Formats: sequence, structure tokens, C-alpha cells
Amino acid sequence: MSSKQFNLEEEQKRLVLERFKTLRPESKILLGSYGEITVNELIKHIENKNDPFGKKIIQVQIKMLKILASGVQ
Amino acid sequence: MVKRFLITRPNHDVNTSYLHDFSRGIVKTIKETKSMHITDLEGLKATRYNLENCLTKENPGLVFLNGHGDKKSVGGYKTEVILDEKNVHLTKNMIVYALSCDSLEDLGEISIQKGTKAYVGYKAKFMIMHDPTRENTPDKDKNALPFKKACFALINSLVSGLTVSRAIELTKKEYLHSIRTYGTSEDDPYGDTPLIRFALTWDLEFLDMCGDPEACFN
Repeated sequence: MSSKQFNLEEEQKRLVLERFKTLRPESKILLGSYGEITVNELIKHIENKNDPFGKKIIQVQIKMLKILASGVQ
Repeated sequence: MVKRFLITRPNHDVNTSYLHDFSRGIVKTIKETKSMHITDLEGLKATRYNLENCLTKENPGLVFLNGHGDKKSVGGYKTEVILDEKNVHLTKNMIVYALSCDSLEDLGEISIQKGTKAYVGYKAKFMIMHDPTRENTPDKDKNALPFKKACFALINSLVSGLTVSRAIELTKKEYLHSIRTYGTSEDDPYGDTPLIRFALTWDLEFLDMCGDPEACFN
């Protein structure tokens, strides 16, 4: 992995973390057999460097931002 | 010829109560359609025994499973595993739509190897953003409405006889529409809109299929 790619990932992670920190920490999402997951727990997954679930959260949040940036259709 | 549709929809905890509510619309639609027969394994009838029995005796063209799941199985009432590698061969030549977590990942692929025409599902956990004050009345939960709309779009498209790939395409459009427009004209006293959009994008991202994209319920 090049240092440029690494920086992009770090930048995306920072952006996603900042966005989640603006939400109510106790807000919950239903997550199948896992039960519920709070915003605080989502943040912990993102902060954990080797957490596959955290990586998926970042991937999805970036996708959401791209969808919103592409405008209402 | 009457088209045969089979649905499992347990209703024993918060998650399954939401999926159960999401399925009401399509059950009502099919019950009012003379050219279709529905087998409704609702609540405690959503067992492995009943599913196997109905798959074998009724040979439905479309199987809609609602419940908990993981990479290798889908659950029924009280999370009994009702479909896994050992009995998925019973869905040979059928279209399966599993509204549950993860099952497309492994079980979907295995089902196709064993003859299932197409398997639609999610490659990760299925997320629903809900209003905790509405847990006992999911039908009145505004937060859950865009999730309900997307789930209905998919099963309604399949029931209508569209191909699996077209049904997924229309559902993804529904997700995109909700992501772009949710909260722009709605009250949002708890500031949940960003999280609702995130959960919708999650479900959009991990909805997929394996098998024949041109398969349709006929």
C-alpha cells in the first residue's frame, strides 16, 4: 500500500468519525441477531484499526456522502 | 396456472416484529390475487419442519424468508435455524429472497450449487433505524418507513414477475431516492436523519443476488 492510499484512508476515517460524533451517542440501529448498536459503539468500531465492521462503516458512510453530493433526482 | 408463494415471518422480538410489519403489504396483496396461492408460515408456524414440508409438497416458485440470519443460515421462530446447507436443496428451481442478515454470503452461493434458481439477500447485517418509542407499533414508526418501502419494492417486484436483476435495480433506486430525500421535509425531533441515511446506504450497499439474474416468478 502506498503512502498516498494510506493517507486517503486516514482522511476518510477522520471525516466519518467527526460526522458520527455529531450524532446522539445513544441513538440505536437495529442490527439483526446482534440486537441493537448505538452510535457510541459504531464509533468504537471505526476507531479500532483492524475491525472489519468498522471498515465497512467507513466505506458505507463515504458512499452515502457521494450519493448526497450527486444531488436529488 | 396458480403461482405458489411461500413466506416465513416470525414475530418474537423487536427485529422480527419490524420485518413482520414490513411483510404485511405483500401478504395482503397476494391474498387478494386469485392467480396466486400463498402459504403463510407466520409467527410460531415459522419452523424448520413446516418449511421443509411446504417446500416439498407445494413446490412454490418464490420463497420469501424473514428472520434472523448469518452467513450459513436463516432463522425462524425463536431463531430456530430453518434453512441451511443441509436442507437448502429443497429450494431447487425456486427463487429465494431472504430478508435477513448475512445469508447471501455463504448460503446463497451454496443454494445455487444445489439448484436454486436465484437467491436474493444481504451480504452483511440488515440494518433498520427505528424509533424506540414505537417498538410496539412498528406500523406507526416513521423512522422505519423508508426501510419498509425498499423491502416492499423488492418483494412486490418479484411477485409481479419482474426478473431478479430488475427487481434489485428498482429496489436500489428506491433506496437512493430515500437517502437523497429523507428528512428534507419531515420533522426530525431527535436528529436521526443522518443515521437513517447511513443505515439505508448500508442496506443498499449489501443487497445483492447470486444465480440467474433473469430468473422470474412465473
